[in-house]
Amino acid sequence: MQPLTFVHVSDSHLVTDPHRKGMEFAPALLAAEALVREIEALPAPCEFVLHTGDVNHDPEREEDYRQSLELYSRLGVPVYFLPGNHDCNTWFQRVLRGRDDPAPHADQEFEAGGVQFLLLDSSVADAGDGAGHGYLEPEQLAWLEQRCAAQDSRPLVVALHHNPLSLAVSWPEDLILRNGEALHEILLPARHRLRCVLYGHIHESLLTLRDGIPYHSVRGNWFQLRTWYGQQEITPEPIQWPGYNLVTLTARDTFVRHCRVRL
Amino acid sequence: MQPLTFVHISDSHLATDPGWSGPLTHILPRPGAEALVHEINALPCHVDFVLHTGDVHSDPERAEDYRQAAELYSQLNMPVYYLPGNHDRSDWLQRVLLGRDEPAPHADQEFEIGGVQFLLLDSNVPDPDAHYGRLEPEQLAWLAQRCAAADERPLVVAVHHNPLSLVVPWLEGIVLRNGEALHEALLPAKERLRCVFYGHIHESIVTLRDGIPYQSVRSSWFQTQTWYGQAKPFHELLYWPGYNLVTLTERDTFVRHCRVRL
Repeated sequence: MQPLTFVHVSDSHLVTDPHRKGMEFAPALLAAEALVREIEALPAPCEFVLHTGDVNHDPEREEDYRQSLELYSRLGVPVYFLPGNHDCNTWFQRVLRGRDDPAPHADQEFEAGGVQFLLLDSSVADAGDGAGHGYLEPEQLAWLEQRCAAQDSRPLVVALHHNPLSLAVSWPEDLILRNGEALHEILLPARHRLRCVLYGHIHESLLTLRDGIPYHSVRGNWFQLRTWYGQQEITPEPIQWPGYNLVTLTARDTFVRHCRVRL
Repeated sequence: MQPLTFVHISDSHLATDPGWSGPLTHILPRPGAEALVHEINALPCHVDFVLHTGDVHSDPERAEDYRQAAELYSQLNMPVYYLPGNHDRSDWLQRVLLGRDEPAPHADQEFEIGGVQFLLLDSNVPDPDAHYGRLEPEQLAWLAQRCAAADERPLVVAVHHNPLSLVVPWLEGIVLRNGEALHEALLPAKERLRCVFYGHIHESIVTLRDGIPYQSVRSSWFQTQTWYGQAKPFHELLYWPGYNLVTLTERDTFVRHCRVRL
């Protein structure tokens, strides 16, 4: 196979109000524009961008999604979006996927450079204010299971918004994917061809390995957090600049580089 | 097993001359190294030990040049394990930092903490002008024996040089020359091998091959940024030190990529 390089970003939390800072961090639009400029200027070949959700902060605002579409369309490469817990699946699919009739879930399968990509929508409809957890419906798991059990020699990459496995941290335990253990079990039959599972949500760069499957998170585009084993309370990182992962797949190897953007 | 947490640092490049900043940057190595020591001591979680994967010193001229590193890292509240890098002198590092009166040909080390087996491989070559790394046949045999053994303990391996190519042409001359042989030696242990940690490249990259993750760490001095096929070195604009916060549990391995604000 030819080397395939893409950029993994997440958690831009865009709002159309340019003055809204939220949580005392830099305005989300400023950070998102800086990251778009960084990706545009990358000297490495970038086939596409994967955004693992929380594209927008306030789910009810269609104009926020129009702004996101306008911003990321500057990139000149395809952008694959997943919804996060802050997104509205209806506006997300209507505006970012161009679907007049949104499906129950924004799951997506595509192939790029001979690599199979499976994007899982872990957002929960009508979860109510403040519900940040994720969940995969039985039909979504069945869809994934069929693909992981299939005879397929293509390299595989799986992505979703929420952290599938516990980070052994007290405060976000109720914010994780509620059935991540089931997801892991379904992935196991494909582990020899599964290059990585990519997610966002935690605004931190963290690698978790279980049974030879690497789960990579990516820093937030907006603000950064830090965690540690047994942590009790949410803690900001001292450096708030946006992060992204630069991912390259070759016939044998998978490279994930952890990059920062200077604000 | 009880959770085990350690900090992975690398490439402090301490210099005997406090005003030395090297040929590539204007950044002094000492402030970043000191900031990292303070950061690790102030971490809000329990840290069992620190692993330094080499280039402790930039240009040692005698064994005593390692006293500075010994003094600095003795301020850490936990034990420190060292590996030599291409800029180090393995024998002098062994004398001062490992307390060996009779340095061995290599600074390879094996220890067990919290039920986890650690194998540290010295990839330094004796020629002080050589920046590539190499493992001698007896070192690979030592490793292969341990990887082929019937052993159920989780395993962590560390080395200074990047074992596998990063497909960065300007770096190809300074990789571990027999990293492919290292990978082959590790394969029989891959079910219990949690991670291979290395330094050398001053960047945070994970390479996965055959289910084995190779994790580098940022330097405490300056940072580089590479990409596939890169022709010339590029320094990251944010030079602040980095470290990896690693936790091993019964089932999972967590590697958190952290930075220190200078």
